[in-house]
Amino acid sequence: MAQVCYGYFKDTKLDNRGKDKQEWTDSPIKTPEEYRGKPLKALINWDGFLVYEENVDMLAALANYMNEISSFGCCGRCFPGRVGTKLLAEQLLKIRSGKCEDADISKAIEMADSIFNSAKCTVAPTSTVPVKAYLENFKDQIASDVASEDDQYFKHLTAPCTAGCPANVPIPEFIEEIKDHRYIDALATIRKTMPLPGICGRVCPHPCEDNCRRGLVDEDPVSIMVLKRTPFDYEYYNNKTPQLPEKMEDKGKKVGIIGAGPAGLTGAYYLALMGYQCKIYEMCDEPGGMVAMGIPDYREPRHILRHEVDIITSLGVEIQYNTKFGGPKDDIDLAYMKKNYDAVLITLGAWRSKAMGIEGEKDGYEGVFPGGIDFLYEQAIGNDVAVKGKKVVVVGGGNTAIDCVRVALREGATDVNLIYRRSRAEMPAEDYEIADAIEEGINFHFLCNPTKVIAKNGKVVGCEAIRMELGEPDDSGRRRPQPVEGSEFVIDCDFIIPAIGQDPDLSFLKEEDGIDVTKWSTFKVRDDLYDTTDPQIFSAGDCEWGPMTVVKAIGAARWSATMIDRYLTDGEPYLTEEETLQRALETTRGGIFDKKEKVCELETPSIHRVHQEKMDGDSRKDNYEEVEKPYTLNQAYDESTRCLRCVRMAMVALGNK
Amino acid sequence: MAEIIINNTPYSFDEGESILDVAERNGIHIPTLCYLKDVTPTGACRLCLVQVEGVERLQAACAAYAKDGMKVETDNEHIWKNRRDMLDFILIKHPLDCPVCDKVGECELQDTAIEFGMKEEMVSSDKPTEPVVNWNKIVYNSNLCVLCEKCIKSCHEMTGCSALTMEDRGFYNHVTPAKGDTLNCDFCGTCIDRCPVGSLLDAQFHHSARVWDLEEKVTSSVFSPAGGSVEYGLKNGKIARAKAIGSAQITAQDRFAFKYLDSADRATQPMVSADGNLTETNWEEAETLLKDKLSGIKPDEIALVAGSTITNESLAAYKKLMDGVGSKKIVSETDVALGHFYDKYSAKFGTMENIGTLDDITNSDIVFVIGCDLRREAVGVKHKVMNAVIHNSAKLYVAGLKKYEYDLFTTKTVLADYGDFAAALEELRKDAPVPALQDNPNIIDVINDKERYVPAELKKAKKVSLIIGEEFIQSGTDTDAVLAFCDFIGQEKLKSLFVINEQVNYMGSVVNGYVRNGYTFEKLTQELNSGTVKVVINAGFNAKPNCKIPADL
Repeated sequence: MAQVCYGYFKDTKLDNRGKDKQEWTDSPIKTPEEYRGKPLKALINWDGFLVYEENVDMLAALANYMNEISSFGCCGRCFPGRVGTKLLAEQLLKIRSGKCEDADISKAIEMADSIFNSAKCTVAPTSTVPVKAYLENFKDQIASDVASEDDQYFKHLTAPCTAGCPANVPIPEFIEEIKDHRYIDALATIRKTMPLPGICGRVCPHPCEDNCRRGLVDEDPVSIMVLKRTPFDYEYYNNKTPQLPEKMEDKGKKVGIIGAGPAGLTGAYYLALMGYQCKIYEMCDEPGGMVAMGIPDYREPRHILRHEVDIITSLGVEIQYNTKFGGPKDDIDLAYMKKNYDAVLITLGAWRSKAMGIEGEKDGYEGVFPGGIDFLYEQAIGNDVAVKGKKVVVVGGGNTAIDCVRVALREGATDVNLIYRRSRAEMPAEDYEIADAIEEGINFHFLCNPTKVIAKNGKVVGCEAIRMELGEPDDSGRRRPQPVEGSEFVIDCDFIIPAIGQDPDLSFLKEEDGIDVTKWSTFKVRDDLYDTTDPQIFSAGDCEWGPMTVVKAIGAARWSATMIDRYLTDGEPYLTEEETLQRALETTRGGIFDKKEKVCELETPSIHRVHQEKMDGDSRKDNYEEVEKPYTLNQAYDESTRCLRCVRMAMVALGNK
Repeated sequence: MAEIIINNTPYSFDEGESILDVAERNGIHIPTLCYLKDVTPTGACRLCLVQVEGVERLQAACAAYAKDGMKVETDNEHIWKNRRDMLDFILIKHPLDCPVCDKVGECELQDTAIEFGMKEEMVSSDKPTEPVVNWNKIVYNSNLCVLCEKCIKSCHEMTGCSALTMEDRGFYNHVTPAKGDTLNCDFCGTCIDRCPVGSLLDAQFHHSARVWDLEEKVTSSVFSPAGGSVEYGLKNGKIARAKAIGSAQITAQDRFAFKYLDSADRATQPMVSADGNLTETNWEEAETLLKDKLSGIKPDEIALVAGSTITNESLAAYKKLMDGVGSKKIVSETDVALGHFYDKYSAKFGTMENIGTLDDITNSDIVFVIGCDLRREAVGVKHKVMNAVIHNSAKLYVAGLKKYEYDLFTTKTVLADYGDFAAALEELRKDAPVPALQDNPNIIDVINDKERYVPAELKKAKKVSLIIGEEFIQSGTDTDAVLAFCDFIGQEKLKSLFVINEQVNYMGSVVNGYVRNGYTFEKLTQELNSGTVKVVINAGFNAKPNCKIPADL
C-alpha cells in the first residue's frame, strides 16, 4: 500500500513533510506503488491530490492535469469548461515560471471559483478542487517544487455510473447524445464497451443506477438502463443499418471461443474488430446462451437477441451450433481447441442446477425438474413443459425463480407458487420483477423452505415446507433463516422446480489439462488479466466468476479480449498505466462514487423519473409479448435531462525508472 | 398549483418548465447567448446563471427545472460577477477583428459585452489563428466561433440535415461538416441566421456591405409554395443579402438566388415582336398596337393562360383586363399538370385547399411524406415535420425517389423505383407477414415483428399528417393511389393533408376564383383547333421542358 507524504483529500489536509517515511499516512486510494514498473509519485483527482514522494514537481503536475482537463477531460461544450480551464492551466504555468506574485495566485483561485460555480458538468468544477487545495494549503511548497523533466502523466476519465457498470459504458456521454437527439451516435458510444445494448437495455440489474448522483438529489436515479435501450430501439424500429467501427487489419491469428452467450459474443465482437478471426462453438441450436434459454421472451424478445447476434456475425464471426465442448464424449475438447487456435476464450456459462437436498428430490418422481434453468430451457426450445392446468411450486428467490413462475403461468399453470426462505426484502431478484409477478397472480410464500417431495404412484402431488424465521446476519450481511420447529405444511402441486442457483459444469477437466479450478467450480484466472493457469486459455463470464449478470459477463469478456490481444501481440497479458489507475479507483470503496456526498448542495432537483409504457398484469399473463415498451423519443429526452454529467478525471504522475 | 419564487415574487408554472421559461413569460430579463427557442437547450454560454437558495453552485436558467417552492435570484452581484467571468472567458480568446467583421452592428457577442459593461480582460492570452474556410456557400471562421452550438442544433433539430457536428474535445473542439471536408447540405443557411457572431457567413454577402448600410425589405418568397417570407437587405437599391425573419427558415433559392433581378435580360419596358426581333416601345404605343390587333375579334375568341408563379396582384390585373375584354376564358398553366389531380382531390375532400394547419403536422403521431423533396419544395413544412419527429416523438414514413437528407429521422423510407409511387404506397401499407410454421409459436420471427410495420403504428396513432409533393405529381402515378392511401389512414385520423407543388401561386389563382370556372385546358385546345379561339394572352406562362402543353398551343 502506497504512503502519502502530503496532500489534500476529501476536505482533509495531509501533511507528513519532514516526517519519517514510516509515519506517512496510508493512501486513501488503494493504489499500487508501481505502475508497470514506474514508481508512483502523485495522484490527482476530484477529491484532491496525494503526493507519494518528497520531491515532486506538483505545480507542473497540476498544470498538466488542468491542461489535460481543458483538452481531453472536458467535452468543451460550455464556456468555463472550454476556455476557463485552458486559462487556468496557463495561469498555473505562469505561477510556476518563478516570477510569481501573490496576485497571480489569487487570480488563479478566482478563476477556479468561477469555473466551479458555473460549469455545465462535473469535470471542470471537480478539476478545480486539487488546484485550489494546493494553492490554498501548500503555498510554501511552490518555491521548493523541483522541476523533474522525466515525470510521466497518465489519466483516466470516468464517472460514478461508468465505474459502477461492469462493462464501463460511457454513460454520461451517450445520455448527452440522446439529449442532443443523436441516437445513432449514442449507439456508437454504447457499443464502444457494450456490443449488446438491446439485451442489456432490457434485462440488466443496472448497478450503474446505484451509483447515480441524481439519486442523491432526487428520490430516483436516472433511468440509465431504459435510456440505454433507446438508441438501440431507435436503430431497430427505424430500420437503420447498424454503424459499426471499422475493423482493424487482419492480424492473421485465430481465436476459438466456447459458448455464444453474452460473454462469448462480446469477446468475439471486440476480437473481430481488433483483426482476429473468431469462431464460436455453441452447444444449442441458437445463439444467446443463458439470455436465449434462461430469460423468457416477455423480458428479452428473441428477435431482438437474434438481431444483435446478426450484427456481431456481420463482422465475420462464425458460430457453429449444436457443438458441445467438454471431454472425449463431446464434440470438441480442449486439445482440439488448443491445436486449432492461437488463443482460446472459454465462456461456457453456469448451467448445472444446484439441488435442494431434500427428501424425495432424487427419487425420480415424475414432476420434479432438475432445476429452474432446465425448465426454462425446455420452454425456450419449444418443448411442451406440460404444466397446463397444473399446480406448480418453484423454490428460490433469484431472477431465475421469478422467470420460472412467470413462464409457468404463461404456459397455463393454474396455481403457481414461489417458496423463498427469507423475506421479500432479502430476495436477490429485482424488486420490480417480484411486483410484476405478484401483479400477474403468483402466490409468494416468504420465510418458507421445502423439506420433502410428496409423491403418489411415482408422481408428485405436493411439496412439504417449513416456516422460517430470520436470525443473526451471515457472511452476506443478510439475516440467516432458521426453521421454526413443527411448522411444517404441505402445498398441493404437480410440479416442483428448484431454482436455487447454478454453477459451471467443469467435470470434464482432467488433472493433466493443467487448468486450475476454484472451490466454486469456476476457472481460476488472474485478477483483471483473465488468463487461466494455461497461458493460451482465457476465461470470462459465469464460468469464471460464477453465476452473475449479463453485464458482468460482457465487461469481463471485453477485458479478456484486450488481454488476449496483448497475449497474442506482446506475448503476455498486462494492465497499462491507465488501466492500473482505473482499477485502483474502482476497487477503492467510495473512490469514484461517494454515497455520503451532499450533491443537493451543488445541484437543483429535476423532473420525476420517466417510466416507460408497460403492459398491465391481466393483458400480459397469458402471452410472451414484451412487457416493457421502449421510451418514446420525448420520454427519452425528458429522462436524459435528469443526468448530472458526473464526469471526472484522475491522473497519476509516475517517475521514469 | 406549483409556485416558484423569483426575486421574491411567486410565479406559477407547469412541471417541465425551466427557470428561464418562467422568467421570460413574466418579463424577467435573463441574458442568454446560446439559447434558441426552437431547439433543446445547450447550456453552453452560462450567461443565464441564476442563484437557487440552498445550492452552492449557480445554475443555468435555461436547463434548470422550475420546482415547487424553489427560491431563485436572477440579479445580484455574485451572479453578475460569474456571468461576467463567463463572457470574459470567451472574450479573452476572441479575436478583436470587429472593424473587419461582417457581423458588427448585429453581433450578439458585441451587444452582450456592451450590456455587461465589459471594458477589459482579466488576463491576456494568445488568440486563436486558425485559417478561415469556405464551405461552398458558407464561410466559416473558427476563431470567432464561441461554440454556442446554435448552428449545429438548428441544423440537426430544425432542418434534419445534421450537416454540422462538433469535432475534438475541450479547448480544441470546433464546428465541422458532419461528412467530408466541406458542406454538402441543402444550403438553407439556417445556421447563418442563427450564428450570434461572425463565424458563419453567407459567402455571397461576405465583405460586400456593412449591415447598417442595408435597407431592410420584407417580401413574399417567389420560391415557396408554403407561402414564406424573406427579408432582403438592399444596398443602393440592389439586393445584397437575404435572410429569414425571426425564427423562420428560408430555402437556399430564397437566400442565394436573387441575382436574376439584376439580369440585363429582364424586360423593363413593353416590347414589340416583329420578324422574330424584339424592340422596345412605350406603353401608349403598345396599347394602340394591341387595340389595333384585337379590333374585329369577338370577346369569346380571346383566352388567357395564367402562369402559376405570378402574384395575386398581377392576376387581379389580368382578370380586370379580361373583364374589360369581356371574355371569361381564363385557364392556369397548372391545370395541365394538376388539373386532374385536383379534380379527384376536390371530389374527395370537397375543397382544393390543404386540410389542417402547419401546427397539425407538429402535433401528429405519424407523418407520411409522399414524393416530396421538402427542402426544395417547402422548407417551412419540413421544419414542422422535423419538429413532429424530434420534439414530439412522431413516426415519419417517406415514399420518395431517393433517401432524403433527413433520413436519419425517418422510421422507414420506401423508394419509389422509376417513379412507381403506387407500389411504394402499397409497400407502406404492408403488415407483418403471417408467421411461417415454426417449432415454437412463442418466438416472434425477426421479420414478423409487427411493431416494425405501419399498420401497428397506425392503430396506436390519433393524429396523422400526409404531405404529397411534386415528385408524386410529376411521376404520373394515378391520383387514386394516394387517395386510397388516405382511406387506409382513415378520415378520422388524417388531421392534415398538404399538397406541395412547384406551381407557387396556383392556389392564388384558384382561391381568388380566376380559374377553374368551368373553362378547361382541354376546351381551350379544342377551340384553338376549331378556330373558336383566335387570340391567346400569355400571362407569365413559361412552359417548362417537362410541362405537357399541347403541341398546337
